[in-house]
Amino acid sequence: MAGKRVRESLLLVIVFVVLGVILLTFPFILPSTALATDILLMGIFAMGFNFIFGHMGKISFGHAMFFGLGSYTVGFFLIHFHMPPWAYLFSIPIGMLVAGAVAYVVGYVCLKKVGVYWLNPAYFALTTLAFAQMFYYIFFIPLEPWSGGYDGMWGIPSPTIGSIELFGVNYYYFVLVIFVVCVFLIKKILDSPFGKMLHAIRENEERALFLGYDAFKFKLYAFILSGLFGGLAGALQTFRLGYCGTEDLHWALSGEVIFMALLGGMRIFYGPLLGAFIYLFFKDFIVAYTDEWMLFVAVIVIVIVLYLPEGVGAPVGKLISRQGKWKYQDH
Amino acid sequence: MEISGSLILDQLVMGLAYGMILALVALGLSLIFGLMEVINFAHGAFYALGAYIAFAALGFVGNFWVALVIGAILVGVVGAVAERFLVRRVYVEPVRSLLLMFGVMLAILQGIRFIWGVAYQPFSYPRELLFTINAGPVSVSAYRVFIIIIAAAVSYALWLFLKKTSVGLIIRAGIQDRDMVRILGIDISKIFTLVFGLGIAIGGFAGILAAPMMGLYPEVGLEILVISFVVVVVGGMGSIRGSILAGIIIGEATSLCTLVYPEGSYVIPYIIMGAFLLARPTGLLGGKL
Amino acid sequence: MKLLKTENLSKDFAGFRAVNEVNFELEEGMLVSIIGPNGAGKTTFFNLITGLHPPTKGRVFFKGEDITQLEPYERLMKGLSRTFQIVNIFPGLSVFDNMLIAMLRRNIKWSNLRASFFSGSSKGHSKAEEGAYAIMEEVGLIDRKDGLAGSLPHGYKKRLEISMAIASEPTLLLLDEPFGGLSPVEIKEMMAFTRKISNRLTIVLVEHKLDTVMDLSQRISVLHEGGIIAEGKPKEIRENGFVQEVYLSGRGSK
Repeated sequence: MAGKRVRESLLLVIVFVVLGVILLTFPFILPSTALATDILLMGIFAMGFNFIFGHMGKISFGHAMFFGLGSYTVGFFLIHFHMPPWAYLFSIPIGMLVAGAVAYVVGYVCLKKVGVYWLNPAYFALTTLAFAQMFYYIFFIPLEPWSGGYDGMWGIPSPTIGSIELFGVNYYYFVLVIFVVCVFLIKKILDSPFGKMLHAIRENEERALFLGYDAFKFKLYAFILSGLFGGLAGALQTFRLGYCGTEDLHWALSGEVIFMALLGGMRIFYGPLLGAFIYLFFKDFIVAYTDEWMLFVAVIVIVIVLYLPEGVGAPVGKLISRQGKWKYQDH
Repeated sequence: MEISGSLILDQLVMGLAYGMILALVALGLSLIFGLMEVINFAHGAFYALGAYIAFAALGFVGNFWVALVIGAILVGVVGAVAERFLVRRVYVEPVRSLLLMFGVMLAILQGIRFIWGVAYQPFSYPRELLFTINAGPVSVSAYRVFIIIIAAAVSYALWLFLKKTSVGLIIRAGIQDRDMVRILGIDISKIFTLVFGLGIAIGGFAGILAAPMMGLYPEVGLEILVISFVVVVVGGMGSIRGSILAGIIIGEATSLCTLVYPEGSYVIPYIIMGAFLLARPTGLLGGKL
Repeated sequence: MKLLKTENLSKDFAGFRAVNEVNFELEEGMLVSIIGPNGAGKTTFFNLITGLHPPTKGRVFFKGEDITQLEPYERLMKGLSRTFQIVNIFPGLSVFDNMLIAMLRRNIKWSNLRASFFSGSSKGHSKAEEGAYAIMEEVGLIDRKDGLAGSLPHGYKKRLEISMAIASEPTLLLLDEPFGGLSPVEIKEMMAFTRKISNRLTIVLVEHKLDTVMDLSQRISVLHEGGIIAEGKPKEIRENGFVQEVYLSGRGSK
């Protein structure tokens, strides 16, 4: 009894230490620092997205819009609003807020219940996609004088903290801090009553309604949360690249984040992060050999949907916790 | 900018043609959803595939009309095969079927890029229709008029098929109540394959019609998918008349917007969709969600 | 003041009248049943009271207040709870989680950000957990608390369903065919449980078998083709010729 608990705790500690070491040396063990930073920020994006996907059971095909809004906000603030260098970092929370505000509006429109009929999930998927396309076109065409249209916005300077320029490896550690905070927050939220409600809505929205819960509010808040994290990820990426462009709003990005969550295991807390790691790592790899890596993605999606609904993360999780159940069970 | 009467008329006809294309795609979507409750996320990809197949056929036979028929039929067959081996496994699970169709879409998209490359391909108009119709002060492109006429004809043919044939009756019954039809001893799975293939064929047909007008490139599929879903929301899922009506509305709205505020014409369908989602989510004439 | 009152409550579905001008009243503390052949409109009547459909006509009053326009979740907070004919639980979650979610509604101050988004272990949460354990003990689900709710045997699912419905300590409980699919032994147990909880709340039962509810109810209303054709003490209903006719001509079961 007590022995099992001690073993479990020990296992947990070991895992954390190993992860900690890996994360601290990430830029050096991976082929590039850029890849390491991208994995972290995409991990944030995918885990935030998973609030509504794996945990609440709704698919949004338009999440790139939050990423892109965060990313363009940083671009606009630095290039058009002429902020002083010490204020550069403030554009990140502003980007998050912009994404969150849009999430509120889009979520409200797309999640409304229609009388007694619960909208087919595909409605939500496609209406979110539609709005994402709308933003794509807005930044592409009407806003072209400011957004750079097809070319995007270049030459965005790196932020600074005091006298330290956040670039390259420095920037990685900056993102790492944010990443750790996000992971901590997301875990807390998922373990909270709110998190439980997300699962309830996924399992049986009608029942949740009759147990006294205003399901619409929960869905909306979850959507806003996922939008906030998406905006954060986009903003972080702009500083890394020094660039933002329409790819940040493109449906392919929406597809990628779905793929990452699906691949790593959408029911598991760390699944999307694992998916982000695997996807970005291999993409880095495969792009060197062929332009057709999207075909791999397509095939893997089909295979996972048909044969491996829990994604890759579940078997990995089971591998780690050979004895007893480690708290990844959160169904 | 001076907006002359003939310019407006030109845009009206363009909008109508574009709208009818949208209506056809929406019809295919609606048909598949009505019977199988699957939203075919890959519908746009099949639309593009149909156009590309016709493009290839055009290269071989040099005749637009033959290519049109070959393209529509072949892509319908591809659709039927996809249904038989992939789609039918995920029928009662909306989340999984969406993801699966997403994968299928990516695969088709990638296939197209692999075979034909990523560049924009010119798709030539049929020579027979390369003239303008002049009636008094009015002059419109014959091809666009052709699109309007043939799309209306196909919709009507579909309506006839559903209303007047026995297979159509089974399909309509299946849309109402799948299980009842099974109990009546009818092999519904064959009907599913047929309907899916038919829906895809109509979508591919629309793709071929649109290709000379709107250009041929791999991503054309996704763009049409999203707009045609807007049409479905506005017209109402499951309604033939709704799809046509909504298609025309969206088509005209887009077209006329280019006269006053061209940059906005990309955005206006989504605004209309947003308005409908808030005020009348079932659409103009729709019922089944 | 009546606990529950419906006034000319009616519901039409595409040209067919499922519930027809029903005037139904209930005092607090009673245990009554509504019976009727299948298709009489019993579940639709419940759906109207609990807010699943808006009525075509008429109003619903609860504790003297007009609740006709309220959403289902608002009605629960007023003290109106229900079970469903087809078991309606959270299949992919554990039994414990099912109960916890049912308990959390009343025990947490959801408007408080900290309580709802962060505290997995606030005071309200502990109270909810205790309450969940208590009810699970009471109905005999405690041994299965970590099992997947969807894989429970039918009888246990029904117990879970009713446990979740009473978790919020409602004033009025609507039970939709709580004995459906249960073995005779399970029916006895469920009847005993229903009697027990009837001490702390008012119950309306819907059933289509007269026998099952005879001993249980203080009053029985008979619904037929959407309207109440008879209402009174169980003995009176049993001896009512019209009722017998309606049942026998319909399905041949009393």
